[in-house]
Amino acid sequence: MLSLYTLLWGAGDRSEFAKEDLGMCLGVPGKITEIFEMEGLKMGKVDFGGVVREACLEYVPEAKQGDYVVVHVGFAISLLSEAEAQETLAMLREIVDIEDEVGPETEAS
Amino acid sequence: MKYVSEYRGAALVHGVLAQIKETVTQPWVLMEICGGQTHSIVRHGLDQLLPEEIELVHGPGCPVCVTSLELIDKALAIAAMPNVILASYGDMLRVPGSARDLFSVRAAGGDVRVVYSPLDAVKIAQENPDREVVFFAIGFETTAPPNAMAVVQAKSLGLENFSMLVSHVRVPPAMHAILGSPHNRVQGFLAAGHVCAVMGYWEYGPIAEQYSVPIVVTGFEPLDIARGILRVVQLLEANQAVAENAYERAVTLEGNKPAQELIQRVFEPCDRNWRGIGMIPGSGWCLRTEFRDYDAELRFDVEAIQPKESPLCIAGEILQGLKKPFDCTAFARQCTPETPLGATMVSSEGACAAYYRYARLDVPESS
Repeated sequence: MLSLYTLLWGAGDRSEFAKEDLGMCLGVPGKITEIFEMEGLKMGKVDFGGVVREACLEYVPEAKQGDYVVVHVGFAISLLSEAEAQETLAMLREIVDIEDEVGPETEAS
Repeated sequence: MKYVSEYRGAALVHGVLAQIKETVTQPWVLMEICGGQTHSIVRHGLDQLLPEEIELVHGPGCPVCVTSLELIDKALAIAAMPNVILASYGDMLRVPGSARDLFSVRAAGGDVRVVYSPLDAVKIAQENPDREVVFFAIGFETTAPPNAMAVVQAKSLGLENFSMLVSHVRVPPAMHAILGSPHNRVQGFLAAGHVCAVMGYWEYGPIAEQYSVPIVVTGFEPLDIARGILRVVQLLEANQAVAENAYERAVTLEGNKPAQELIQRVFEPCDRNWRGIGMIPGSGWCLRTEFRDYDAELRFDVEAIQPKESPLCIAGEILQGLKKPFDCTAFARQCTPETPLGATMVSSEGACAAYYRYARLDVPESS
């Protein structure tokens, strides 16, 4: 079965989502909704905000259903850390809150 | 979308940009070395939101752009052979070879197929046992584990009709080449997040130290990029040449071990020609002896072709951060994504294609 991306791209589709967010290097994170085996390889169904595609999970052996992974050319290459993600956001929100208190130098439209 | 929308919010990005403005006291030249980041920077206009002291130059981080003309000409020759199916990532189809591109080979009857994953190419080989299936295996460290898996899978399935035209390149040797050049302008690097997701960033500390440049592992969303830039600027202003990670949710110091193990099993370092830059010693990966049966360069006798670049194209200087797309006299005139003269205008990750698409059309007056 051809992937959705192949179908879209092969047909010359240039929609933002197909071309960019699922493009070669941007690696949008997706959520693993199902894990299965195919010809000896650990595979998964991965949901990218509504678009579900198959990805090879051999490089994230510890991945479970519900985990978020970065997928690159059909392979999960990184298991995202929820704790690190929250910490980064909390730290950045703190920066912005401080800006709000002291008044930013530029407009934050 | 989780892990996406939080990193695209304008308020946080503006907060980080304000921090950059507060931090910077003198001009700095920063390079990103990842086509995905180049695209994201231009798409979201981040380069135009930065204080004028900070210049972003776009490095050779687009795999489609740096694949050598010799290998593209070889792919074109192999694709034109009667019993061959050439499978490739879609971006490669429009890349100009010396005389034509893969699209024109397909139009002339060649069987050229776009695949999303290298495993799709393996499947094509399974389904077509009496045809030779050649996968054009381009890419940086991010694509190496998938391509390595394709070879291992083909071997374990006993597929004798599968081979790969390998054009793998690595980021650290390219950084050495750029930083070691007498023309170098780069003072700090954003390191490619997903290359580091695979390889880790332990290799970058010694480079930072050797050339006195800070290197910060950076993600792809606007907030990630703004944060990466902030960190590089903070390190530059503090005169600290170290490697740091600003993409913690996806990258660890040691990287993805299972992926690195398979790369080591399948590939070994080799010299590689980069389009527009030239030979960089030890900058590529080639198939190890145990997997040579799957090397399309050995399987197909492709006569040496004298590669010929467009005389107008300045992609090489753009890829080294010496020039910007609008410094090129052909940009948006003779050279557009529909009729590209060089690879940087082809891939959505190429600097020229990104500038063209997002209307950076402030081209100089023509003479």
